[in-house]
Amino acid sequence: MARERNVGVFDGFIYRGGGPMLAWLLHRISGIGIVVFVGLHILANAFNGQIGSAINTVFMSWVFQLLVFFCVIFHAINGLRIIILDLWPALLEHQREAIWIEWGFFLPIYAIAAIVIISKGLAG
Amino acid sequence: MENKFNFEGLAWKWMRYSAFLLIPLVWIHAIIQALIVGGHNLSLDYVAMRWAIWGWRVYDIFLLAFAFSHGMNGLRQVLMDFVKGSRPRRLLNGLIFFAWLLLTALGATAVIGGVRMP
Repeated sequence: MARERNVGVFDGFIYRGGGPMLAWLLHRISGIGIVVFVGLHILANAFNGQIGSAINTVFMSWVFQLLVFFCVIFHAINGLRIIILDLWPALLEHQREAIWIEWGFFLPIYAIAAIVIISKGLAG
Repeated sequence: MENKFNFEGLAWKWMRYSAFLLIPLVWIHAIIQALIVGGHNLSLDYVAMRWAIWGWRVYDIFLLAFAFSHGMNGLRQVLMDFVKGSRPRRLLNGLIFFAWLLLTALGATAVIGGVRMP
């Protein structure tokens, strides 16, 4: 179990997990990013004082939105892959190909979102 | 053993069920507010206009309930990989439960109470 293992953070750089490991890592990072964002989003709007409006100013900038959209779109598509592999375990045989399919969905969707965010952001 | 209440098993299933619902809930929310309206155009007036329609308030309550329970349980899963010993783990479980309850209550109060102009 997880509580028994004794693996340091830096062992992750040596362990060559490849695509599935990168997806696992990005799922965790994007997940923590989203939960912190949503938590601050609730707090900033519940107490819309000086700190709240300062946080909202950061959240409304297009650079920050690019980051949030990366997290949300990646987390959703990777999560969908996890659900599909959990529902049909026979597909686990092709789990490495599943990662490539996943990026094939992620890249065009994120590109469209990024173009809209940047063009809206630069237009003011 | 099969009939015993298993919280972790239930939480595991909850992550899948809520994720499936969150994909349309979060994406529609993000597309309307950030892409169509535009993040820099969001204001209290806009939120007041949107919440004049009760359907959007119900939508936001669903979004809050599913997203934040999914998120806090996910945060718990990640942190549990780094916390050892049953006492620190119980403490962490308690803290996360309290934070989840507090923020969900705050968010729900805002959605139900509506916009208060400063």
